[in-house]
Amino acid sequence: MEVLHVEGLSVDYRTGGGTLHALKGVSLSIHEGEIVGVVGESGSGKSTLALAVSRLLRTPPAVQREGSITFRGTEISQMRPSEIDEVRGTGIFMVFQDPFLSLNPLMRVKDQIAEVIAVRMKRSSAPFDRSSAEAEAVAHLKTVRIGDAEDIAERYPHQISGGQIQRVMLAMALAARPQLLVADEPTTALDVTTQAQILAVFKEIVEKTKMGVLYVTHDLAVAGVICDSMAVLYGGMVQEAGPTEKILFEPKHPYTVGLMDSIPSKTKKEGPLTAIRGAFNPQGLEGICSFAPRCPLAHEECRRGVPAQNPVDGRTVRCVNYGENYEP
Amino acid sequence: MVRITSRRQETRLEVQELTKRFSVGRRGLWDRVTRKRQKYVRAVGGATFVVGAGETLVILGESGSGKTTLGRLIVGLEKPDSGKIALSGDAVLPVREHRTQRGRLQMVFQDPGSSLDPFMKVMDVIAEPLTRSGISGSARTEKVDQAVDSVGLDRSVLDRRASELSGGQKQRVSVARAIVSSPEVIVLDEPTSSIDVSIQAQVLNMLVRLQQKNHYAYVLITHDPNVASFMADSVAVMYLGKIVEQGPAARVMLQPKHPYTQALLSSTPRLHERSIPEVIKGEPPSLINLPPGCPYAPRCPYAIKVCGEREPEDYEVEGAVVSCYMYDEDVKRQFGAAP
Repeated sequence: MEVLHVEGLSVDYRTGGGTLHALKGVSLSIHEGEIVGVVGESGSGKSTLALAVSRLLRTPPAVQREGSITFRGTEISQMRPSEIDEVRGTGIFMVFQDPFLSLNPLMRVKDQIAEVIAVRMKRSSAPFDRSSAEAEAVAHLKTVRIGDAEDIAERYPHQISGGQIQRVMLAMALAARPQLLVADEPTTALDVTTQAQILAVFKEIVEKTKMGVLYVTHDLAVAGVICDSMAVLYGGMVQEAGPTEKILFEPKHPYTVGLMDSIPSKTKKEGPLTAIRGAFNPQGLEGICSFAPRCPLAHEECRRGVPAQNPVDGRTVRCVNYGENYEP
Repeated sequence: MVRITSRRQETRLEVQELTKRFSVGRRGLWDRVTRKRQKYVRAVGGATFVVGAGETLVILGESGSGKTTLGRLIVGLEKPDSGKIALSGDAVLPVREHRTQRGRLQMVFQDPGSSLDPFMKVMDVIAEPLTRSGISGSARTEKVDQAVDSVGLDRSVLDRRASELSGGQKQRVSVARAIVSSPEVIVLDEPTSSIDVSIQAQVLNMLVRLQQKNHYAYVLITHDPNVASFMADSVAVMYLGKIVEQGPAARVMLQPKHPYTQALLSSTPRLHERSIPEVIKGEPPSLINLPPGCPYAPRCPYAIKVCGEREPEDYEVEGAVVSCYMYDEDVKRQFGAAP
């Protein structure tokens, strides 16, 4: 079953200084038990997409110009705040990048998880029992492999590490039983040894609960490990999207190729790294391929319009080298 | 202390048995009267290494490993409790006590957004290390221009302010500031961790090019094994303030001998690998009043009784120095060969 469907989503940030097009016609869909990666660098619009799906964009300055966000068959992007509140937590749950900003510093871990359970019970009109909720909280902490779960449950957020907080967030997601989990760089602030542990727990609970996951990351290697399919974002547009196998092992879009080549995989004695020239600049990208100014293969056709998504070998590629089709 | 002695290059930086601990919490009068013990964090414990001209030593470690403190000790921003730091033979003193050495040692900080004054013109930012050197006027302008050219920036940035530049450009300015005084040693503290991968490749290439041309000795501090493998001639792996393994880059990165190095490298996701990286148990313990023994023992799958009792010595293993009982002859005889 399709949990999330985003269609032609465009989001602008309108400020006194002008308008920035953060997302331009982004489409993607996520099914039950599927982890979809959104990979991009700064300025790609990946965090804007995560916030838009969770309906956490601050408006203003953000404005949804066009497109729709459908969660389990219901359009949510135009819902009133009171309606969307009913979806949050038990429907769509979000895990943020900075673990130290995501929990209430004045509440014990077990109380925060119990609060989530209380909300879930209320929405399903089930009776709430404090002590069984606390027991359930500890059980979830054990599922996300927190050692001494009983001890951690009694602590305040400042008394536990960043890796443990991300585990607590995942335990909270287990308590909320959402159909969609939106994770924005959940392991970026963690050490690699801790990151490996969290990724393992992540995969395990998705298999167990069958929730759909929108996994936002800048790290292609992490996306390759955890995601079933991925969308590579650049300049607010999906440049290449498809099954992880296809993109990881046979990348087609020049940006995807460049991004992979930029990751050091040799020693300096073997020669310089293949870098992408220049830097992302949102100015002057109207009506052309967003990557053209930095692309090693760019030619005249790249500036004739915005390339359309071409279906190529089991994935889509937004590049005129795979068919001279442009967005209308 | 075992030291790797085969050196082809002229030594630029020599560090011996460097230690630094920080006291934690206040120790008031009552605590003194009751002789309450002061708590300490061991930031760096007994670091020893040499870096030759044109060589890069990578300090690889996770957060809390003491790698940044080690970098700050090298450039004199912190005062060591004990040990020796020598620059081509001379001892290094803390910045305030020895201004003449300033130009010979430079540091590039992790976050250029906060290490560059946003209100200063780029020209003045880069020229700052020359202030006390007596170089002024046209010689100064020429040096600044040269530095800007060699980091691949357009000279038009000189009249702009650091706050107007992108992350990659700011880091290039930081490097220009570091090289303007023609230093011998440059400490690079996570120089690319705050910038995008596509820009990181440009900056790493530039650093290698500058080193090949000017024979700088680099001490590169990083948490990223990919960056370490690309940049390093030799690698020192730190865990909780201690160098647990040290040796030539190819040896340490491709055939790690210390259980922590093995765990660190195997838990890093690699491009083109689809399985979840190997998971090691637990998280680093608190640095405050570390228990005796090997700092990695509580997480180590091979730990035996002695690991929790006494800190292991350094053993020479196939050209690298490893601080682990697995390589102790007596322990080996008792428990069999190392994995």
